[in-house]
Amino acid sequence: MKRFKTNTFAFFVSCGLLAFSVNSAYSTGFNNGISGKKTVVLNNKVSDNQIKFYSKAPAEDIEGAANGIDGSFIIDPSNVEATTGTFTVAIKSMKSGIEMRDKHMQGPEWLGADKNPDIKYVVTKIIDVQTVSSDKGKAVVKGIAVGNFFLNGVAKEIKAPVTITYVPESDATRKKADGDFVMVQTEFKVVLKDFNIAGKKGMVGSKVGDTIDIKANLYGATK
Amino acid sequence: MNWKIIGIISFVTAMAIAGWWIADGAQIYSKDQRKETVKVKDEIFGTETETIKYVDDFQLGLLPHAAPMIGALVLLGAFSFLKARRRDTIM
Repeated sequence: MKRFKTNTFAFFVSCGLLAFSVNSAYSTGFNNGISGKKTVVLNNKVSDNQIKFYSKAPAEDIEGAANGIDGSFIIDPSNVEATTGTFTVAIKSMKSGIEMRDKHMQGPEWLGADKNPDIKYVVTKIIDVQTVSSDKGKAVVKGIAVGNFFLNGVAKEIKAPVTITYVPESDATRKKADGDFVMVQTEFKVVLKDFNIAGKKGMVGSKVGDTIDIKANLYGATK
Repeated sequence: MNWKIIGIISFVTAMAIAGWWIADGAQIYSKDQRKETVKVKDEIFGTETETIKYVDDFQLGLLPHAAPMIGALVLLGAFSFLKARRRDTIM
């Protein structure tokens, strides 16, 4: 009986050690001495959250920006892979310099803002995380965010390369907002046909690019 | 009616519109807003990023404004000169 108890104890200890080692082997952090899950909420006081979009087509190049960005994510500075979060962009905040074009862009043939007013990206994990730098608490990691992109009522998995910069709270940060600061920078492409966006007949490919390039600078602070 | 004066005014106006179009960046489409790029240097993150802002400012483009206006004025100018020439010939 005693031997059985000893073996059971040894088994559970081994399992625990194995789980710990597996977790350690697959977790990459900022190496800034901060650990534990933090909820980061996007905050324009940290800096202006903005998403830019670019369309290249034979007839014209379109450049625009959106400022109606909301979102939050949970990040563990010692295990960036486990990051999860949701980001939304209000379609009606997207501007391209021509009011009429913006209205068409929001219409049912394009982004369908009446039915789906927001574009959403739900991040489920970050893979291929690499620590770029870590100095006096401020640290930068790179990785690939994996998540579902919701546009025009269609969800599709998109992988987006991200650079995440973590700055612990200091006198300098407190002048802007409370909490640790986090900046997320990303660039990725959205293929319009993947989201059933056909536009007016013949426009995609001639006046609007098949693929839209997205660049985002997102800023938040921990709660 | 002094067709010659109408012709001259039409051509001058067409040239003025073309000049305005060039001055506004010779764009294909008219724009209601002007893009302003603001460079933001962030001391905390140590980065310099560009933020785009759109401010209300009409910029004349070929479509739907400059091209039809210039076209109509050139046609009117040509018609006026033809009329003036015909009248000179008759007189």
